[in-house]
Amino acid sequence: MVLDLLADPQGTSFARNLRAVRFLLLLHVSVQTWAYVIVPFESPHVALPRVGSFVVAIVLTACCALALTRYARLAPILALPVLVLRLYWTLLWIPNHTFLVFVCVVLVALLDTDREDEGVLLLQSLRWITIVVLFYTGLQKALHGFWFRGEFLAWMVSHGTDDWRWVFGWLVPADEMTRLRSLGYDPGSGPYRIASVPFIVLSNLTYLAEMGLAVLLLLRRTRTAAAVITIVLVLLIQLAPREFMFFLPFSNLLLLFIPGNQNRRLTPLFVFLYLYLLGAFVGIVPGEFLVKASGRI
Amino acid sequence: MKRRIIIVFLVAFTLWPLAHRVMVATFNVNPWKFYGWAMFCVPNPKTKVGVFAFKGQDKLPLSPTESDRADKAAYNFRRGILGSLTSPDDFASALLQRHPEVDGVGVVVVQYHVDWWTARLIHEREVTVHRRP
Repeated sequence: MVLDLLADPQGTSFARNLRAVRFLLLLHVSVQTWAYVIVPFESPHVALPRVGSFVVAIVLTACCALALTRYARLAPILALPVLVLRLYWTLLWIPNHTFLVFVCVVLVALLDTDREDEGVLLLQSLRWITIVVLFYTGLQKALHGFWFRGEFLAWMVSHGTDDWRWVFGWLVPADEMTRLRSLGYDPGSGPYRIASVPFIVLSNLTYLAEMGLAVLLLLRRTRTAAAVITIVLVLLIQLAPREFMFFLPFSNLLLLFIPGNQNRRLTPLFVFLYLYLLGAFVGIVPGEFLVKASGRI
Repeated sequence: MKRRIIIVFLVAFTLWPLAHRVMVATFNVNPWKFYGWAMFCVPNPKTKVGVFAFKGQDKLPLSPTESDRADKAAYNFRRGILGSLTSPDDFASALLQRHPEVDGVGVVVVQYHVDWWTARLIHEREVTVHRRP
């Protein structure tokens, strides 16, 4: 069975690493909810009450602290109902990575990291989910077909934020850049294609890398290298949309593929990054770049 | 038992993006939403909803109330995400209730997206007519 491929050799100790993953997942939802509290959504389509989100943030922070005590097993179980409530309030709006973290919290609530059999299943499940997400982000790009000739990137260079032009603009000839920037939203506007071989190669390499790395994560021999490359790739990809609240939990999941209990070792770094991100969002530490163009994280 | 539940869940998690792709193709559901891992696959589709009124056979503009505007924004939001899975019927019924002076209303949904063949922007327009019963 494919899950067997994702188990570690017998005798490998991973319970403490999984406890770190559990803590970091709860830290993620806690920081995310505090961001909702600090800058409430102005959209009338997000039914997130201010008092409600404040209560959810407090409960999740308490669960995050609980995850560091000997009652840690209870932390995700207690967090789950408030996360379901938060999901209900924001259902149509929520981005995919919010759902990804929710699924991971469900798994750490269902499975006990300290029981050998459940710990193995939890590790396999989290790894499988990571592979599925990575593979489909590539496959969906191929199925929709807007990356073959660089159409999606051309659209983002034309209509996206300056970050997209900063990240991909160096591959676009100057006259093409002028043309793309002049395009409006009227019918017939376009074409959103660029006569630049490096641009088209980069566009195609993106989904091929996502799918290829997902397959390499399955294989024990290539797993570590694939995980490191994927973390770097995801970080590079996030330079344009600045979805660091996706990068952090996803790299937390990718670290599960690297031997040596990396999640546990890097927990202090993750805590720092989450708090810094929240600080940059609030504006009390430098880091405007970490905040998305929409003003959110 | 717990293992079986997890396995069933993982199978569903694995197959869902394929169902998601079918939903996008069939119902014009926003590919960026609903956990199909299809964000950044296509330019994020934008939807614009408009309304007009009927008096007899004549088409005329509808003077919107605050509630009309709020309902229109809400339907626009839902439509942009759920595609044709969300019907304009409730929105149109609410308009008809608030405007007894008209015989019917029309709901216009314009969605722009980049055409795969030409790589140019196209505006798709869908009009539904809702007459008073």
